[in-house]
Amino acid sequence: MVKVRKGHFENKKKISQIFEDAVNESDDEKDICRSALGVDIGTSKTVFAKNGNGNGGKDYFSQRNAFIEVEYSKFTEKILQQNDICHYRLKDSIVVYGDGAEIFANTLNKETRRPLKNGLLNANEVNAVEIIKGILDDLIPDPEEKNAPLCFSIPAAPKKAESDIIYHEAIIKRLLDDKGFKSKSINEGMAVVFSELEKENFTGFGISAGGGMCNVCLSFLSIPHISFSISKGGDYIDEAVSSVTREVGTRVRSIKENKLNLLNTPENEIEDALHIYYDDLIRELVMTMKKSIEETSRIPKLSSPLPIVLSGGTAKPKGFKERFEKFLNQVEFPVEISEIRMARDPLNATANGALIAAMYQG
Amino acid sequence: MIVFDVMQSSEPKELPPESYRKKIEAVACSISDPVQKLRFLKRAIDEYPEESGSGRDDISSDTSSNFSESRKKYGSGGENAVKDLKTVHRAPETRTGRFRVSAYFMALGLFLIFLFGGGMLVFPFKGAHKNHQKEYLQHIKEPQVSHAVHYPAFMQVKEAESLPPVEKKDLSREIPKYLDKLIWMVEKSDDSEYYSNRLKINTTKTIENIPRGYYLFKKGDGKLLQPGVFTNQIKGILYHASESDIFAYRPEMTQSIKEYSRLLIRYLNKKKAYHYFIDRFGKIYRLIQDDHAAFHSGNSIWADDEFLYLDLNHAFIGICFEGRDFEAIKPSDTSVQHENQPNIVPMEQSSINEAQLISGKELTDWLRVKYKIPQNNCVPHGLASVNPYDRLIGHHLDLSHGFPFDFFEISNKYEEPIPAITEFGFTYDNYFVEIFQGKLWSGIAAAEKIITMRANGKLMSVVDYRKILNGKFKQIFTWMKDKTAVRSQGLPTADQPGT
Repeated sequence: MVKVRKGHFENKKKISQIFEDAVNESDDEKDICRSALGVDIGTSKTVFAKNGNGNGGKDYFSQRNAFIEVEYSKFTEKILQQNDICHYRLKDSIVVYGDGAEIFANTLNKETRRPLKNGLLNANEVNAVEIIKGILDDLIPDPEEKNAPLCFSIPAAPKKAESDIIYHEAIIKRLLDDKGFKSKSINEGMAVVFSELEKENFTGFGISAGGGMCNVCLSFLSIPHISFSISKGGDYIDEAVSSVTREVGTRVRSIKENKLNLLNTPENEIEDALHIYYDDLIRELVMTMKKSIEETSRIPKLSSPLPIVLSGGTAKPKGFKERFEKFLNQVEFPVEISEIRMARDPLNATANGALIAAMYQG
Repeated sequence: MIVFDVMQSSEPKELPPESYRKKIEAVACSISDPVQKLRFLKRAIDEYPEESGSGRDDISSDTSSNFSESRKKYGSGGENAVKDLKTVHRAPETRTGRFRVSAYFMALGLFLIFLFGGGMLVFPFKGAHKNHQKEYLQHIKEPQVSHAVHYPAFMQVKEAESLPPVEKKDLSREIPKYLDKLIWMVEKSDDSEYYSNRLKINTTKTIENIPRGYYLFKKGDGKLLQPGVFTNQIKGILYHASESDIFAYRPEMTQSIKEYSRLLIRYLNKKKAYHYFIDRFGKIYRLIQDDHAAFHSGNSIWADDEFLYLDLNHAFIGICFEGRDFEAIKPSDTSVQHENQPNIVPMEQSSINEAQLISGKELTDWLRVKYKIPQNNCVPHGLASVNPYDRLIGHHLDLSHGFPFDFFEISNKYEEPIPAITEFGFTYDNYFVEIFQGKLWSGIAAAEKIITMRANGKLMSVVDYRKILNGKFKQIFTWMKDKTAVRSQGLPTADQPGT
């Protein structure tokens, strides 16, 4: 009897002690939280998040992961310098990268190129590492203290490309560590869970629908359980629509980002194609989620249904959530879902989650 | 159950059994800070006692005292933790634990049978166990996962303890001395929050809008293509007057006044117009939750020492006093007026009463402590509102005269240079001059003086310098409108509802 009681006391004491330790931050932990940074390295954009002025807010900075190569001339170089556009000289050409590349491409009626493809460093671009280094250098300030904690997002390994992610992660980590950070990677879907599912004790699905791919993570009490990605994202939709409508990618992207409402009936050929390819992407996402859950034998016993949070630029058009819900209702989903909701700030959710992870990791 | 580590690790990790998970979930619900919650969950899972023999109904006095200490230490936020811990105490045993407990009971029973020769003593234990299991099951029927339980009081204590100076300069001017003390939540119910400085907020009308998120620009940084910082920080307070019809403030009008306020709140909620509303009896309502924007500012410009704010819906908290400080000119007077003459005049005495001002002050103090808002960013709407197309100040005029800055312990903004003029070269028209019958804020003259000095420094005329400032505004305004189109939220393209 006495022995049972002792064991019981020890267990309870432990939870209360852990609670106290967790909420009672040491000065070191406070410093770590203040200096921590989160970075979302997506196919189309890099977003960097840091804590605001100690009032609970967060600041976000972003650069497009895009570049364009133009012929070198002194005049061009001067214009770029005057307007603070990121660039570097490469033999007889100038490589313009970041947000400025998009503007330059529009002026020259050219398409930008991407240092990342399907969420990973683009093997077809020789200068991909150099460009992503430039973007990170420009976007992220040097750490105030050496070894400041930083978490950066990486996608879940796509099927048949498991080895590529090792290279991608190692290169990004090296670039950030060389800047003086103590960097760690975090799964992109998990970052969405950290950012959006705090009230649910970090239990549920986090989905990041980005430019190159869609990342999904199912977490229980902050522990990732299933994570996977599909190699379809905003770029897939742009290319497919552009191909069938013979319209330039920039215009397709502009309609998609500014006007598209998936709840309305399409008004023209481009919108029609956008609806079709969005449906295709959502269908594949839902089916892969279903299959992944069914294939695992390790789903814990659930006391309540799970929430799903959608984030990322590809999930931004109005009606995405409703379409997703529609497809989910059409299939026999293996776990009960409590609600499907959009992230509070879909474009910055991953960076915010990475920041929370960095603050926690220290 | 095999799962993976929190980060991108391939190291497999085992989740503890369901009963233990429920215990830690119950405690985690009382932690509002995501990092602290993450830390707690991770440690609780890591330190799961494999050999634990937990599970009986005993409430350990040792543990309770432990939590009482936590509660004292962290304020009322610990209350929920204590409640949740009691839930933990009542939790059923793990399968292995139950087996072990049963074994002990069996041994004890046999011992007692042997000692007293009675065979019935085992059953009361069994019955008691069943009852408690039932009680526990009743308890967990409430959805644990979706608990939106927030007890931020201990967080506020922590925030206030580490309150840094808002600006590096003279702190005493920025934050009144007594605000160095803490303001913390002392009571929270389903319909109100009560704070240690007497502030009481009615939360029955609180709704969501859109999450805060806006661009802020460094002062003096007007380069094209220089992206503004995207943030969701609360940076200031914008005071409004509802400029609505008012009943005489007399006892016999009580019901009419209350009914009018009720209808006004309903209208304001529909328009998502303000974060806080203070009715004529000083009752404070939170209309929009703090971390969301409200459509209170229309097109407005403000600046502090460091930043320019062009999207005050997202950057500032909007507090609206029910009342008015302008009145319409009587028809008999207008008949002799010329065509473009204003049809309103400032009231000699504002209808905003003492009860409202006291409530407004309490609310201001709490917001300033909570969000570390410097006094320069506490401003009446009339001083910040602009017409961006004609580059004119004073587009809305609420609280543009007679605001009791001293009472709020903030500096008199009527006397300070107007940011829309100094930063973007805005000006004013005859209509504005006539409304105030020529008695303009002295801050306008101060701002004009600054512009003249800067123009002289650059060896150019004031007109040319103003054009440069106007151009800078146009660049930022256009840039923000483009960003707004992409984000669908942000700076309003047309004037939003407000006063």
